[in-house]
Amino acid sequence: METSWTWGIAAVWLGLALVASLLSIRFKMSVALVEILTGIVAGNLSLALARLEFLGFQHWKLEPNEWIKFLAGFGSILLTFMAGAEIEPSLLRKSLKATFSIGFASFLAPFLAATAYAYYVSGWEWNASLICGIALSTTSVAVVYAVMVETGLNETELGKLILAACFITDLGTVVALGACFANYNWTLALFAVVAVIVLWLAPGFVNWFFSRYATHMSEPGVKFVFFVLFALGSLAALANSEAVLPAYLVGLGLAGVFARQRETVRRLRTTVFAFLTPFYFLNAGMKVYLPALWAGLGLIVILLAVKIMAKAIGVWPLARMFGMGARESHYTTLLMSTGLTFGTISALFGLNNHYIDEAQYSILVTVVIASAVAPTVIAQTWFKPRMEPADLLERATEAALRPPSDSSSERPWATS
Amino acid sequence: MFNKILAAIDGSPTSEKVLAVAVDIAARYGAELIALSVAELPEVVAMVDEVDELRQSADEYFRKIGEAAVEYARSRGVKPRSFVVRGHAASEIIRFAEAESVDLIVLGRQGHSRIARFFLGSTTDRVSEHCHCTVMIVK
Repeated sequence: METSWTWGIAAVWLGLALVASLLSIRFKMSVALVEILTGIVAGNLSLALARLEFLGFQHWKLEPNEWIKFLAGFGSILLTFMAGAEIEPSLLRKSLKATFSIGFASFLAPFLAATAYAYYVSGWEWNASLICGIALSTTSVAVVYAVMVETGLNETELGKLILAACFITDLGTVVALGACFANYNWTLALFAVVAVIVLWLAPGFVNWFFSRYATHMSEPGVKFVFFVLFALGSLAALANSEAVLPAYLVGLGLAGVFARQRETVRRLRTTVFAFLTPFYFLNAGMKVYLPALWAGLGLIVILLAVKIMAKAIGVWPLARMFGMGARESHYTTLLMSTGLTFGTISALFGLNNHYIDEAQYSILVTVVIASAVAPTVIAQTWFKPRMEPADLLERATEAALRPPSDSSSERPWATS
Repeated sequence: MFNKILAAIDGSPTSEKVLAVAVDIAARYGAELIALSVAELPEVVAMVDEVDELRQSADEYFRKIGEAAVEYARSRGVKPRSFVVRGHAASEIIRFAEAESVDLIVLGRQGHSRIARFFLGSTTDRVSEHCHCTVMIVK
């Protein structure tokens, strides 16, 4: 009975993940966002059915149990690791001063502003206010990159600078998440010492390990990375810190190695997106309580405004100072106001550790999702850097002349 | 009357009709033909890798559509050029048409899903409203 129940729960969760995948393909939306929305709908529908005692339905059937929590946590660690590993190390070294200044200001200003607003105006407890500040300090590298790919800005110096600054912002977020709630005792010292040694040795060792074992079907290299992530994560948890902190740092440290292991990264990505991140994003969505959103609607709007305004105060003057034009500065500021993955990870950390309650979590996740959409729409509609016709034709010609890749098209287009 | 024609194609059955009409007009007027595809990628994503994968998949898909369009047009005596751009369909079609100084845009009635049309308006409506040149809508 117990085993069948376990398979049943797994079937429900993977069924939801399948529905989210199909919807994301149908409506050309991000699968992560659709998974969160699917989780919100499924979780609240389940609650409503349980309240009506519909066919004896009980909400706890959809409540994440221990193994779902593990898979969701593993998903968030790997998401963070892969986010760190996505950077090109040379990007960070280029325009170092501008990158660090803009990135750090982009973290610090909203972190301080949102924490202060939650604590002094909304009357949240101190730890809840810190979670609010951390969740709203983020910048979504993926959203920024997606917008830049569309405009071609990712190939320009301006685009590369903005992308590198986004990584610094996220670094600030994960360090804050790891540092604000840690126990400052020997466990933290142990974690710090081991982390420094691992980060120092890992690039060279992993590079050698991959070159020796990369072609094996059992993927010893991937297992070694998982081992490092779990080991450092457990030490971080021992210090009451957060496992995503070492995951991001290890990702940054191994970015150069992974840039040369594209096939391994592709397989790892397939595993993560097919099986692990759906549990994370569905879980993040299921914990959003819709009635709390209605009650907190005003606060949602205000917190979104606080985030965007604080990003403007932190980023805009520096963007101007480092030589960007007014339009480019507006654009950069708005793009750096976006957030998604790290925002939800921070909010979920707060909920799981009881720093925030269900209503506060629901409000924060909604603000995070809104911050992924609203600044992007504003930036794209009114502040997109102007492109000369010649540039447009050049880009189009490049795309048309690009040689075919190995992957085959989903459906060949037949003319009659 | 028409010297340069732009056919907006996306691989749908309607855009097959668009291409057929555009090729026919280009053949009659001896006009230059451009086949343009716009790859619309989601902007709200969780991973950089997700963007790269979607981009590669879209590029590949639209490149094949472009090749098929060129082949079809050549079989009817028209030598077209084929392009792929990324962005929002309506604004990219308009920008491309202006950059290339085309004097006729041919596009299909259907594009976005019903939900997207409700919120954003159809590509056809936006192109016909904002474009400087003649727009032909194929049903």
